[in-house]
Amino acid sequence: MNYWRWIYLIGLALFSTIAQATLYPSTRADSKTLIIHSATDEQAILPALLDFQSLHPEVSIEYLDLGTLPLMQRFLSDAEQQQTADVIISSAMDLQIKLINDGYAVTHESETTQLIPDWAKWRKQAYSFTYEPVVIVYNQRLLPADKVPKNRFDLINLLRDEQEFFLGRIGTYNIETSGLGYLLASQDAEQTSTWGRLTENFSHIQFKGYDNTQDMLNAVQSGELLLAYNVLGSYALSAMKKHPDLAILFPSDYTLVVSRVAFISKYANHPGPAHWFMDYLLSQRGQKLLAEQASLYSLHPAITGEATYQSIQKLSREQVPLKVIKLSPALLTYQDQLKKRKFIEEWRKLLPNENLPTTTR
Amino acid sequence: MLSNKGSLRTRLVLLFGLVLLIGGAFMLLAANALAQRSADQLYDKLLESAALTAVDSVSVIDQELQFDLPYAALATLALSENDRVLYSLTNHAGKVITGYQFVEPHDRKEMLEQHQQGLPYFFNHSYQNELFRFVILERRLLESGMQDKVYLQMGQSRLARDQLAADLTFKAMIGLGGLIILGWLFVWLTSGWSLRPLLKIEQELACKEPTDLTALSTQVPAETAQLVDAINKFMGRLQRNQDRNHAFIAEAAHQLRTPLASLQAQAELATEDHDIQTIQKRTERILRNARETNTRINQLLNYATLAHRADIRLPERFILSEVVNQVLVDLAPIALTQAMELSFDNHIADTTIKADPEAIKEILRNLVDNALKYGKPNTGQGLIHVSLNYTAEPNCLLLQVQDFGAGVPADLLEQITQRFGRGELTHHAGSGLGLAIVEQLVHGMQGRFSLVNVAGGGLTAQVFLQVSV
Repeated sequence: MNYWRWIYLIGLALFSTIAQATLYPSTRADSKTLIIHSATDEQAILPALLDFQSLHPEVSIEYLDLGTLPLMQRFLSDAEQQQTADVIISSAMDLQIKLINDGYAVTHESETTQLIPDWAKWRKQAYSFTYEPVVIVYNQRLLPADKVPKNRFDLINLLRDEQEFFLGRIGTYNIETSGLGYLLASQDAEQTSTWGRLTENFSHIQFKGYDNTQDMLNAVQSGELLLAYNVLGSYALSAMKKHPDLAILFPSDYTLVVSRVAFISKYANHPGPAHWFMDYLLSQRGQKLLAEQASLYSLHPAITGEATYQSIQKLSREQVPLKVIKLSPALLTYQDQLKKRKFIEEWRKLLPNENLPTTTR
Repeated sequence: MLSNKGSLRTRLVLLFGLVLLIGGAFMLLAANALAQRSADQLYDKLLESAALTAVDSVSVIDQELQFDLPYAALATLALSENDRVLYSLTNHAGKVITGYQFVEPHDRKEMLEQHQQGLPYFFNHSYQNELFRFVILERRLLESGMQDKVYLQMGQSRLARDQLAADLTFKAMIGLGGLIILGWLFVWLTSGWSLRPLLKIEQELACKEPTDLTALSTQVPAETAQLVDAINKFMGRLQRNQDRNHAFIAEAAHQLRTPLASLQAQAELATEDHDIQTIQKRTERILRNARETNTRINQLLNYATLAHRADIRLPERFILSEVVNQVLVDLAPIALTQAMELSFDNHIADTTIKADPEAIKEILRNLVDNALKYGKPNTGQGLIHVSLNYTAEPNCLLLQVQDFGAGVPADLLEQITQRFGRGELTHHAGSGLGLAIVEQLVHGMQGRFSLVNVAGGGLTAQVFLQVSV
């Protein structure tokens, strides 16, 4: 066993418990509280929170941003006390499905939810509210145009042929510490041979594992990494707007599409505001705001713009097949203990001993 | 006044509707049970195939159990959209190798039996307050060095099943409902249609002239034929009654016209006569005629009141022979004046009958009267023989009045008898009203009356009376 990994995991656990929630107080005296635990960048979702508060000024919002795995751990330990956050949001769809399958959610049904397509909801409890492509981000200043891959096969060939050039300069999620990373890897792993060759080459060039998107984007922007694989398109799009060095590509063999999934906890103390907030997230107004101000690719088919369902559909018409991860109990497959253990064991074999992810966050 | 007992059509529709509803309810229960079973069968296949897919990936490598849950297994279960899934792989000792907690089956023995035949074992069980359907498959690990069994359990909540069952039941309900409504409508229409003959009868009756008592001509179905028959019989009786009344009036007119005309003629002659002796003779004749007319009128009135009496008089119980005897005693002096003798043979002792004694008296009086008038032999002393006898028929008595006169000619007798049979009253030569009255009264008592010529001269009047017990 690797001691460093243990120290890292304990540190992560400690960090998650001391993470501070932000309070957005209501101006009203008789305010109601809404507690949201979410694996979503607070700055990204802030406009939506404030807009919701303008609709419901009597609601004070307590928002806590956690990684997908700490979020799940926090929820489970809270659930033991039967006192959890009201709304849980995470893009680790499989973890969300597991919580709902285990009976931790309550039903949310309204006129708004009837418009949500079947693949984006489950049991009238879990709702997808984004439609985010998973992309490759690279530094276009440092990566010459002839070394920009179009798809995974290109990437495999590049890594094989230019091992020295890419050595230590490719990053992706550490699936052990990121729930989203695990979900994306398990989806990639269904294309068994591609996944095997890709990870083998990752291993050869001593790739770096990250537990969140932001660190990965920072590393690409700073030039520490040339390319990051499996990055959430929404964060990448926001980063690209700020840093012209960054560029995005949608793998042309297939592009994964992942959703942020929200549900209301069975142990919610404030079910009323929780239902309002769910409806807001799924409403056309909320979806439009998420697309335009948060660059969180919204799901609503009627909204146009860069970070929207429509733009992704356009992409798919331009010969980039989409692999949309659907909300379904089939996602539980990779959460099977034996399967997960085996998958992570194989992952660990890829990691060079000295390649420990940094705990900066 | 007729009281309204509701409409036949409403009765039919209500009754049939009730039958349909009860039948429909039973059918719906059956349909629901069937739908549940069908839904279970269908989704059990899905559950089993998911479990088979999963159990297929159990293997033993280097004496170690390997299990790689295939994506297809849970994806199969995800076909029923909103159902939660549970699965577990346990070893023989009951230790969970992977997945959720093992849910203990209701009946381990049944499970073992199923597994011995290589069949899956299905059961329902509540998990977290939700009803789930489970299947348990057994897999023997026969690889080298291992003699173990593992159990793969797969469970799924019942939303899709119950939804399908509800859908099927709902469809059956719609079908049944349609059928019930159709059936109802059918009864409504056919009841109207089959009651139409009654309306036709009503119309025909309404259109008839008051004097038209002929039978109804409406063609009706067998079920209403009895009603029509009864109406026709009733009208027949009315007709006879009417005929009788007409005949009575004609008879009365006829019987009275002659003596009155004779009276008038005598009186006219008397006014023209001057001879006191002649006038006296005529006056005597007038007196005699007047007496005769008086008798006739009495007879007619008797007939009219008796005919009426037979309808309304309540019968009473009395000793028949006493009444007969009393009448004969009353009549004996009259007979004596006509040189006739009355004799009475009572063979029934003190048998009582239940009837109107006045009617019996009137019958006997008329018969004796008739015999006095026409039963006188050409020579010698006349005899009228009255007797009471039992007959071969039980509860039937015979009252006979026999004379020894000339009798009645055969063809006339036949004519008279026929007329009696028809219950018609006509004035036949010389018979007066007497026999008609007798016939009328006997008829009213449900008896029989006949006239028989006696061999060697004379006529026997026979009255058969029912002894009501």
